[in-house]
Amino acid sequence: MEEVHLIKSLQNGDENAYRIAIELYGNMVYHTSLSIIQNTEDAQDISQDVFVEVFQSIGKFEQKSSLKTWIYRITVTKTLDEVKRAKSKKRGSLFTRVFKNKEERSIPDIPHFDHPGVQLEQKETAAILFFAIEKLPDKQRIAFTLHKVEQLSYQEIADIMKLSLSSVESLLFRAKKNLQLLLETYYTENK
Amino acid sequence: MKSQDLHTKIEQTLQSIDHIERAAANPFLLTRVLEKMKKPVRIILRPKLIWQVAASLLLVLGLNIGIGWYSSNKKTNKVQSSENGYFTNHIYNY
Repeated sequence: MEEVHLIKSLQNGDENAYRIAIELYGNMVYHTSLSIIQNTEDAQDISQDVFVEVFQSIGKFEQKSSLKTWIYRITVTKTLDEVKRAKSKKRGSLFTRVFKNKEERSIPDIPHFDHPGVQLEQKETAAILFFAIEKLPDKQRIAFTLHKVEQLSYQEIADIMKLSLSSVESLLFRAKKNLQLLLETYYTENK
Repeated sequence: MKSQDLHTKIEQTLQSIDHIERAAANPFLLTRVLEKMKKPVRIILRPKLIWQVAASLLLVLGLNIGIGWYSSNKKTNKVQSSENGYFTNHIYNY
């Protein structure tokens, strides 16, 4: 089905079009969200929310970008919202942690994320890399994930993030520099 | 030499997700989405939102009290000045 027809059918609330859209973009949404939030349950919830938003707001979609770019944009926004919510929850729990026993305290800050798409021999190093990515500022984290994990071009990232091409280049350059520093610190401290 | 090892290790780590495969979404994603779409919208009251609403209400209430107090003061002054005027007129207009 051509994109124009798919959009039209989605706008008409055609359930078959919903199925096609999920077949086309379901894995893309889940994979992007999972790579950013690094939690399977959260990524599944976000994927559902993304498609609810896509199907409910398709009438407002002005087709200034492709459907794929628009869905990517919703995915990134929803995932970032969840990241922020989780961060503020973590900050709040710092206070309550003081009053808890050592055993009750949360998991220590170590590489923990096991991405299902990573090759077996790379699992350990990839977990360290995801651990470092998690510490990047939001924009760098998004740009780097879209580029490395989703293998998107700079132009596609610029369209999704509504930034200029040079801004994306600079974001990715800074992300790589910061990751090198973070990894250097990690490997020096964990010899 | 040691720093060269570290550099190699960092580069290897950065390349560890170069051939990552796309993770598959839940096969029941469509069913879940349709279920969610049928559910009525719930307004989630977050603490931040509650504080913002409370602060706005207090601001509106404060402004109301302030305006009320200001206008009643103005009226009293007006009455007083008109009363003063009456007496002045009364005294000097005979």
